[in-house]
Amino acid sequence: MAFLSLNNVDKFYGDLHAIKSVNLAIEQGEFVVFVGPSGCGKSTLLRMIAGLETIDGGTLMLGGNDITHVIPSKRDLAMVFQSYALYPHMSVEDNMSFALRLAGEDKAVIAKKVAEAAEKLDLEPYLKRTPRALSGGQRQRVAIGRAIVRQPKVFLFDEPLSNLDAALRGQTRVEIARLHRELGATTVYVTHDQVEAMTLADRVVVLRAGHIEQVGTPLELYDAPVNKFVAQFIGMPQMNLIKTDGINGVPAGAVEAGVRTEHMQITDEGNARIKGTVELIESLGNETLIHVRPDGADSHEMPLIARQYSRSELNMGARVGLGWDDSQAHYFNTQGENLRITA
Amino acid sequence: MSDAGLKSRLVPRLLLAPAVSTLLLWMIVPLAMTVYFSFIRYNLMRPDVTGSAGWMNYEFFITNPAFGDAVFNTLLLLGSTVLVTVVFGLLIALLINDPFPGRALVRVLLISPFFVMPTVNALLWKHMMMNPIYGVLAQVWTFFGWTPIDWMTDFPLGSIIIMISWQWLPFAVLIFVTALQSMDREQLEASELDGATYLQQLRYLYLPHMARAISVVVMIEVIFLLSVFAEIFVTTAGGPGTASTNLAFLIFTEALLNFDVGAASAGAVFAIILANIVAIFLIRMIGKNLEN
Amino acid sequence: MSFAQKSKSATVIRSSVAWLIALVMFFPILFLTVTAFKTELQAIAVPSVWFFEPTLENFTEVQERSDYLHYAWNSVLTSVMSTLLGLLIAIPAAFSFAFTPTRRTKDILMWMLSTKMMPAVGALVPIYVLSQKTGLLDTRFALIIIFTMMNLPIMVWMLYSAFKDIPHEIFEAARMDGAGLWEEFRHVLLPLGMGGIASTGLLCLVLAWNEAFWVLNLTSSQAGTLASLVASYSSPEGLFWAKLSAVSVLAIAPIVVFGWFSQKQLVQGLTFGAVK
Ligand SMILES: Nc1ncnc2c1ncn2[C@@H]1O[C@H](COP(=O)(O)OP(=O)(O)O)[C@@H](O)[C@H]1O
Ligand SMILES: [Mg+2]
Repeated sequence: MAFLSLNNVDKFYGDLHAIKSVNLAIEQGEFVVFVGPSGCGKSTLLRMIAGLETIDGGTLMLGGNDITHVIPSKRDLAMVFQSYALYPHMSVEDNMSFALRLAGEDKAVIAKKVAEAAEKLDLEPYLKRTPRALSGGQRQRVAIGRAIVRQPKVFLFDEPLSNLDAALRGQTRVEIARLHRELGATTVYVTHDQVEAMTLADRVVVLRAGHIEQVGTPLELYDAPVNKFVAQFIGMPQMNLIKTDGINGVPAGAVEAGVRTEHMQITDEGNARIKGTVELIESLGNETLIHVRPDGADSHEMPLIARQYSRSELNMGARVGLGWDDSQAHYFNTQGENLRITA
Repeated sequence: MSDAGLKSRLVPRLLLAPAVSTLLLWMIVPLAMTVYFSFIRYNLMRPDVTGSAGWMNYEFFITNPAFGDAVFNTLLLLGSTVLVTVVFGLLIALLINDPFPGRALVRVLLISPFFVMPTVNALLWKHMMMNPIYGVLAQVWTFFGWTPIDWMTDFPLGSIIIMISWQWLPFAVLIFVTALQSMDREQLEASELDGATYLQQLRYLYLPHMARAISVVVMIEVIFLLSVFAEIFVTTAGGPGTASTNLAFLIFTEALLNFDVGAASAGAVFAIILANIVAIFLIRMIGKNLEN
Repeated sequence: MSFAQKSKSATVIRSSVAWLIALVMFFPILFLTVTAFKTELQAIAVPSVWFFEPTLENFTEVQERSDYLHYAWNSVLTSVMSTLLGLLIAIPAAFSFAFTPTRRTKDILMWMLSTKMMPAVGALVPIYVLSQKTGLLDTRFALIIIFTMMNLPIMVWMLYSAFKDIPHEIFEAARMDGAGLWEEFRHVLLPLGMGGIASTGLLCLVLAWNEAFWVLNLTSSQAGTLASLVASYSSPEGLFWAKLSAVSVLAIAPIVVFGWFSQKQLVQGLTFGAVK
């Protein structure tokens, strides 16, 4: 039996069915990331686990206990908020020890736990400061410290890095991964950033409009997306989508082919599946992105992109052909389902 | 309904309960009694006369020639004071917005009248400022060679408007100064680069920025000025004639001077209706400004 | 005109005008205070005298004749008690409005304010009759209750707009940390809402101290506050300016001085969130 399990949970905001009968089982020590476009219900689902939103249907089990209707403070979970939500009137030390003090923990024990957490997070010099006197990255670490001193059953993170600048975001991401390795704590992490999802997660949960599209390890999602939505959501630049009419050799029932940029091959015009004109060449040093506009495509359609790990000799305006290996392509039917997976 | 769900709905209501229930009582009980009194014969001087009065009290109160005057005076008093305080409040706030020597002290001096109780305010102005012989204003008028004005006799309502404006102008100034402080400096500088004149800045930058603050000032003043009483009570007593009688004072006259509780209650019902009309106007007009 | 471009002379003119206005606004209070230290004859002298030997006679006479301290104590008691009672009722309500708003929150707030727009005189007769029937006429208890109810809508409103600015997530963080309702109050709302609570309390203290309508109509010698003491010096003794000034100064000095010291704090809450 899973450590944390959501069984057919529902959430309604008035008429809006925000979470639609979601099922999910999370094992102890697992790092699970919720991704999805903005407004798909990631925060809502996380907050339902936290107890900050009521659960309108289904059950939530933690360590064998039904906690569906247990108040947040009795669930033994800790949460790191997007805005950090530090107590502005308390010192860093008091922020971190607040939960333990409320629980009536022994003073010496509190001091020891805070010191340990501060050491892990490099916060020792700042313990007496208030959050106001800290930088964004330091505040972020205090928020994490506040969660880890409690040694909760589960850590919940709601887009914890979105208020940091790019450099700090990468650094903190690595740090969170390290903490997870050291503490081995069960973690549920919400983000809309697929890089965070791919790098941090043991398993990724892709959400759309209140329901789960797919659950799997990062590479499973990348290699075997169940549908067009997941295929396009994971991977940067997005997977190329090609209408299949007029292209020979596609499976029955397929209306679109999905080919990742690195699987899109530039060929001679000769007997290529698609012919077109090079529109733009982005040379990034280690890789080159070649944008090709297929013949007959509208100018507002996305160009197809081929990624090479070598420098390109092509010039803009050159005529080229495009092709792909069928074993690396995905074919989607009218419902957007991946024929390779569903078949 | 689950435990947590029930709790999450119940607790906020329980927290509201004391405030809502006491206010409801404070509103409903007197209102019900007032409405009831307004339909019976109830004169403290004539306990023998009792029974239902039908619409008589209302008729009596409306046909009282003072009624029209009182409604008019109430609105005039309110409108003039709000106008004076908002306009001068804005001007003074703009004047003291930028730092100058002694600004802190100027602020303290300016706000002082707001803390003066209405009875003192009224007596101070009636006697020491506006007395036609000994008053300060009379001395000023004499100094310039004019004939001193007998304020309380010749401009009774105007005098009261002056007193009340003196009290509420500081309030407006303080709110406006605070609001100006949050004005976007860069926006002003950008407009200067665009060649905006000071007047254009006032019209297109300052006024829109101040809209919420103005709404708050109007709202609070209406709340307090619809029922001005003490200033009239201790100065003109509503006179001469009905020249400075507002609705609040007229009802008071009926109830406690003529002892006609029935008629006074009918008047109170009118006052409540008037207050609600003004409230609806107000909420329509400025309610939007107070939204987030 | 930017600040930098303004010429020196413009600044001089601007500050002179500001000073002039401030002095004109303050003049009546100054005049009242000076008059309180004059003899009755000096008080009505034309032109007004500004240089004289100050006397304390008026103040001692006010205390002897009408027991100033009794009225002052009533003022302190009723305004402080009604403010505390009001905060006790209004803080939970504002907390609830600010952090668990419903579709009706705005309507209830507007309704509360509208009760404040009804003229007190509309409720005078019923309240008078009720106080008489219950034996509460001319008691401080009745005044405390009435002041509380009178200020409650404003209090809820001011506190609501102050609490609304506290980020919701801080309460949620506290809840996750194991705080119950009381701990949320004690450790989050009180410290973070203190500014709003203080300015609400200050305003209500001022309003209650200066309240005249209910005091004039419901009290006489027993529960009368300074507002009624001043009114009692008005009509027959109207021309005893020095004594009238002395009693007035005694009535307003505590609250005006209090107001000076707390004005910064007071104004913050008074803007009702209109100013960020
Ligand atoms: N308190 C609320 N009341 C009404 N609708 C809400 C509330 N919170 C979230 N929603 C709606 O639920 C949906 C999911 O929101 P959310 O979980 O915040 O999305 P995400 O975190 O994935 O961006 C959105 O459509 C949002 O508008
Ligand atoms: Mg979110």
